[in-house]
Amino acid sequence: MNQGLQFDDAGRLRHLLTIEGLSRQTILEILDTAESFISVGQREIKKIPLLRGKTVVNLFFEFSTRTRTTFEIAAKRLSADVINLNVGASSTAKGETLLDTIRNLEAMHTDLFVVRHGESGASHMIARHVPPHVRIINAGDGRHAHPTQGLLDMFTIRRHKGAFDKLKVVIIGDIMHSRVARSQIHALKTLGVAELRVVAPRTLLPTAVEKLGVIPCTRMEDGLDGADVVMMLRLQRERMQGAHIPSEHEYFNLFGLTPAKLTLAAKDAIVMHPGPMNRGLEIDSAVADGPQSVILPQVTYGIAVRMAVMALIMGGTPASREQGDRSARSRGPSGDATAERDAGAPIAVAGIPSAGRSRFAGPSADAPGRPREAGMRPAASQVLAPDSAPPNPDEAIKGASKGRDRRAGVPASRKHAPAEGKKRR
Amino acid sequence: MSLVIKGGRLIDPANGVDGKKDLYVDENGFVVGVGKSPPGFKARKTIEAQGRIVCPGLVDLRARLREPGLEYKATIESEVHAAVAAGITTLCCPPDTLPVIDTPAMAQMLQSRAWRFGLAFIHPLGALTQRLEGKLLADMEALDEAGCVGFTNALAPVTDTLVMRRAFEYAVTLDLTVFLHAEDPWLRNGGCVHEGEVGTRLGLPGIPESAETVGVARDLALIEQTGCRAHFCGLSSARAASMVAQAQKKGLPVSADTTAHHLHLTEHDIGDFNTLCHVRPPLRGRHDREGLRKAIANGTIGAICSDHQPHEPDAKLAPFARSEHGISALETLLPLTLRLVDEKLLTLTEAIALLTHKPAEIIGVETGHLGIGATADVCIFDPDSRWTLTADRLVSRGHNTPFLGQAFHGQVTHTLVGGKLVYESPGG
Repeated sequence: MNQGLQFDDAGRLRHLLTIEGLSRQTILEILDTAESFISVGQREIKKIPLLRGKTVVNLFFEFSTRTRTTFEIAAKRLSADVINLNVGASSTAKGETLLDTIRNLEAMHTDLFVVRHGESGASHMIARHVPPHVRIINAGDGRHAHPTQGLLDMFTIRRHKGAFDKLKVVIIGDIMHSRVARSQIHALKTLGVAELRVVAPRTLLPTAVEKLGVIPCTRMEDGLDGADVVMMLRLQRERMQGAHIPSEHEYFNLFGLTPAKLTLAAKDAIVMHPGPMNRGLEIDSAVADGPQSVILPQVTYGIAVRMAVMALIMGGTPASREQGDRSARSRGPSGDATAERDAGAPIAVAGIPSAGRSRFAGPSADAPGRPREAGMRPAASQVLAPDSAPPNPDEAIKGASKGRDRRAGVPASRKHAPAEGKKRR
Repeated sequence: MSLVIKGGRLIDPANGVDGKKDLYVDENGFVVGVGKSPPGFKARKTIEAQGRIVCPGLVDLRARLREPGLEYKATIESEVHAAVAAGITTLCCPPDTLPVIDTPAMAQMLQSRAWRFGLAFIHPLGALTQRLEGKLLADMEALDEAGCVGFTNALAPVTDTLVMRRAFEYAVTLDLTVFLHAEDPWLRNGGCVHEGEVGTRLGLPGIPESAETVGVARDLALIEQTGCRAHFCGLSSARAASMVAQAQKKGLPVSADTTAHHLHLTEHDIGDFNTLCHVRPPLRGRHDREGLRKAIANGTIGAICSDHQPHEPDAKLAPFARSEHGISALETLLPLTLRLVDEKLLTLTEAIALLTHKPAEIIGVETGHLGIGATADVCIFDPDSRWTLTADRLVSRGHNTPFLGQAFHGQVTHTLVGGKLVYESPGG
């Protein structure tokens, strides 16, 4: 049902509005691309020129720190120009309609909008009304979808647990009001997990949730039993007002994740949370900071995953560019113009001119110690494949990800994550 | 002008007429002959109706014309033109205009403006409570005198059960019909779609079936106690329909309608946030649509209405929950009802009855039939003509319909109001 809106005529991802309707292959492509971007964040010069000259507007109608910041970092690491706009819900209430806001920003030649809005379907509505060259990424719409969160969660699971088909996964918390849960459910079903359960009191389980392919549970014991992945959701503290739960105390007793309850899950189960956490409400600090928690790595991966989504949607990865060129050619004259603009631009210009650029763009504070020639080397080789620069840029990206020891990266970030403050000294 | 409608198949369910009969209308606009010419009758005009169906003009129990107050959406003028183009000759207007129809002056104003165009008849429904606030009763007697055919709080809830009881009792005193949009506002709780599969998938706040059944149950209990004559507007769930059926079986004076779109669409038509399917009450599940169809077939639901709500384009260009509810529906009322005949749910006569004399009886207005002496409100349509609904061909100012692009058959060719030809399709 979503395919029409999210994909262009050639079947390439045009907008990311929801995970529903994405193929397994598309999701894996995003995750693979994200793998190749992980290393960018670990470099001294955290930038690659894929989206150089593109304008990204982070349009947030709803308050957000983490999502907006990681989108901003992701866009900047891809060398895009980023503008953050926090449009309070009130300013649209003052008269300007949502579409007027979009059209005004569009008139400023925005290439990509990252939209968060409090109403389900807002991104769909916008995507329906922007011209073909403008891209939309949904950064959360009402209770409907938060696809990049869902994808970064998949990335986290794959990194820590490997293949999906043997996993028992449980999502615990306010399923009813959670866009994160909906995106996780679509992603996990598409990737084919062995079993997917959701746990909440009946007041926070949406009607007919089983139609999404999940097993609803109302007892933590049933949900956690043997689970390999435990995904916690944030509980809005105001849920008492709607008579969804009697008190925080009672919620924590019944549905809070404590070390004791976690023993019901598989021994090597991982614990995830999209943040921000309510410690002592849905999760015990001992679990949040414990050895099974991958909550901070989730944030780190979020940047790489958002880079991957932006790159794919803007036609900026070598792999998708090749596909794009091929399909544009096969489609004949009618589709050529768009296809070439969409797919061709970013990487084609990446190699040469960005060499100088990355020298300027690099963090100058860290730069003085860098050998001079680093700045002089062509960006493609510098960024994508430090040792040797294969002629095929496709190879370069794959090589970058293969070159890294996956397992080595993970415990490291887990180790230093909770004690980040110390590390900085 | 005296006229004869010749050669058509006359279907007049109220009088049990179905056959090839000519219809004779005198210069005063009354039916003077069915099947045979009255002695000495001279027709000054002949309408050829070979291959066409001639039936009473349609009676629509609920259409918002947006005037007064929301003229940027539509006007009485624009919408009565749409009505007659759709074969509708009598319209009932809910009181939730700006200002509300809670004074005789407002009721009269509406009718006199409609009169000016001399197209369809407009019958206002009066407000049940002042400003529809659900607190103080409106002046029902004065509104009745001013031409209101029923009393309703429209979509505004009467949350105070005691006020509802008093309203029923007062209506009984004056022998008036109360029109009910039964819905429990707490259970609706700001919802905008059916609480079910689609609402869950799209993360849209749902309106549970119980919002309707609890509302119906409360009102039925009060009706049983007060004996008030009542009409349930726009039933959307199978359970509510069967509750009304039980009440009718018990002998309570209750009737009900549903909209043409609730008989065809379900929550699944919302697809990806199609705001054109944002209606109140919401489109529910397939099971509910089947239940409503059953209630139509067995007579529990006695009328199909358009629930016409024309909008300006911006009203639908918003995230789903923020978009305004309602469909521009006058021009699909007959075609969608004829689809039920194609689908073998109804006979053609039954379908026409649900659009003519049955709704007319609910509002107690002498129309919807074509016996001798009746006012000649007539709809002539070509049952075989195929056409596609496009924005261009909509006469209504509101183009907000999810049926755009769909193929229909059955096309109105002529509409007569009070014996006057008020619409003739371009093809004749």
